Amino acid sequence: MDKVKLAIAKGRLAKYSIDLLEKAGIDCGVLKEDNRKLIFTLPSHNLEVILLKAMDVPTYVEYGVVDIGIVGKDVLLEQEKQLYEVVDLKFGKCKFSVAGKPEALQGKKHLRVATKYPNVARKYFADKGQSVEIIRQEGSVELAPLMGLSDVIVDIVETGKTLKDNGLVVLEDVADISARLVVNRVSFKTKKKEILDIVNLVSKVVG
Amino acid sequence: MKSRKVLLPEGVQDLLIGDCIYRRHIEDKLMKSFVQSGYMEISSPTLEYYDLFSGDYLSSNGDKMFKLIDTNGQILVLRPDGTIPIVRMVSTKMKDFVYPLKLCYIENVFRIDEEQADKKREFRQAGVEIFGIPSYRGDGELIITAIETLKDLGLENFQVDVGQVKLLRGILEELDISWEEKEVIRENIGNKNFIEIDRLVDELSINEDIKKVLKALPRLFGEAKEVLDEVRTLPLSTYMLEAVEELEKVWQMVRDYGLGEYISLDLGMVTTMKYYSGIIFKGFTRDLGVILLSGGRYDDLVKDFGMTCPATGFVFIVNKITKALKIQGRLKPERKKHILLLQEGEGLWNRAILENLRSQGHIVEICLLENREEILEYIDRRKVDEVLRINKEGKLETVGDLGRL
Repeated sequence: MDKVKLAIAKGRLAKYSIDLLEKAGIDCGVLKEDNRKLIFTLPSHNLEVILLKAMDVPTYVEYGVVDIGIVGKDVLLEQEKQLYEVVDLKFGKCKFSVAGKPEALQGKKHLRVATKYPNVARKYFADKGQSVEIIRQEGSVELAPLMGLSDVIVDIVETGKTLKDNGLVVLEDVADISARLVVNRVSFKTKKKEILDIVNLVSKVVG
Repeated sequence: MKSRKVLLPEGVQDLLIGDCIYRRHIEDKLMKSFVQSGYMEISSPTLEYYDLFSGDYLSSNGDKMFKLIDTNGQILVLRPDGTIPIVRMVSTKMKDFVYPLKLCYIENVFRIDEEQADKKREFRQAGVEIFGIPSYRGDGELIITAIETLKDLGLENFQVDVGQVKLLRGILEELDISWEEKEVIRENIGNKNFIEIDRLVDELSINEDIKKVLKALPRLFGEAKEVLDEVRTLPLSTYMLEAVEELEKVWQMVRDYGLGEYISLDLGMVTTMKYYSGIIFKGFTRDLGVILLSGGRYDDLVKDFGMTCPATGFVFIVNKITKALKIQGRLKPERKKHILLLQEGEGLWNRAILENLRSQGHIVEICLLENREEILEYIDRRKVDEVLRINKEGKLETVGDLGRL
């Protein structure tokens, strides 16, 4: 049996991802050890796990240097890579939303949009026929409308607390987000049995 | 920032000496293999009119093409695809040929951001096309050519995955649902998103048999016999059965030829190239997670050029094949014996001597250096195999002891 390489997004989703693997009966003890290793071997299921920044997971899977990945739909929507998106893992649920001050959208012909997801924002407003200026951000996007850098933001909203605490509201919903299991298009064929085993284990947990 | 004079634009690359040796080795083998199977080489220009590629099938790729403005204001593009120019050539200049017309080419294609190029904007495609064969025999012949060529290159652990556009397209055409709903189904089948497909299909108010087939399609891939046995347990309509039978015939042809082990099937294979109209296929190796070759039947594209002619073809992505061969350690171009030829005095070069040595297939290089140290360094760094000298009598002798140069 060939070894299967799995990339997990660090941060928000990592804990849930490991929980999911454990529930599926894959011993992830080594992943919970507190060290700075980036590559782990889970011999019980012939798995090699690597931890990556979320934005890098689709790239690793697309290039085939790893076979499967666990990553948020937000990243997949932003990057539009050529992958098999096999299972909706149902955790890490949130929404892509347009947010701003309550009156932000009124009477605007040309919107300034601050976002960490320029492609998602551009596509959403293009589909609506609204012309926009995208302002790419790295950090706390919520600041942009407060400081007058933009009219609205497009960002992922989980609880809405950050928005509320800063006097912003959700104006429109763009898309539902959750974590996905993605598979390299070649690996699924060349390591079908090994990968299907994992897909089936995980699917059973997700239900 | 450094001056642009010394930088390269994104997505293009220089090929240094080693790269060129590999490229020529591989492309010579590819072309030899094509020609030996009866394909004839043709070549289309790098520049074409934008209009050639702006048909229905490709309009979505419009912004992926490099465009130039001609002196008369016409929009030109750098060839973004190898097949379409050949269809143009066949339909305008080669109509009267005897069919099947089997053509091949190796060309650079240019695209802005592309899946199969791994972000290269200029890359090499080696392709073959067969015009005039409507039956499975054309598709089977192509797949055999692809497998034989890869074997000839020494590639191992590879497989050709074969699909059938008619199956899903036929089902979707008959469904009384909106175009958007069809697109979502197509996308999710293409993504092999099993769970989402199950959910979507359950929500549709359509025939239960069709539901069953739609849910099964993305899961029907792998070993050919298993897939075919499984699909036959489904409630297939006549046209679905015909589509499956066509696929089966292609597989049988390749199997009877003795290459069945290289074939797998994927009934849920979806293609972004809308011009495909029947059997489609992709090739890859388990040692590299990218597509090495892709192709299929494109009868409808030829119709767009005012000619009714069945056609099918495929391309190898040359740089991906090179990479796969390197990973497998199978890239070993034959090394020729490298001879450095010195002379003991002036005016002793003799054409007959050189011609004789070169005719034996050796690289024979006349030494242009005069300084002993420089010659020794050159011999060392160029890995010269043998040093010969023409002595004062005009006779060839071996310089065995380099210390006495």
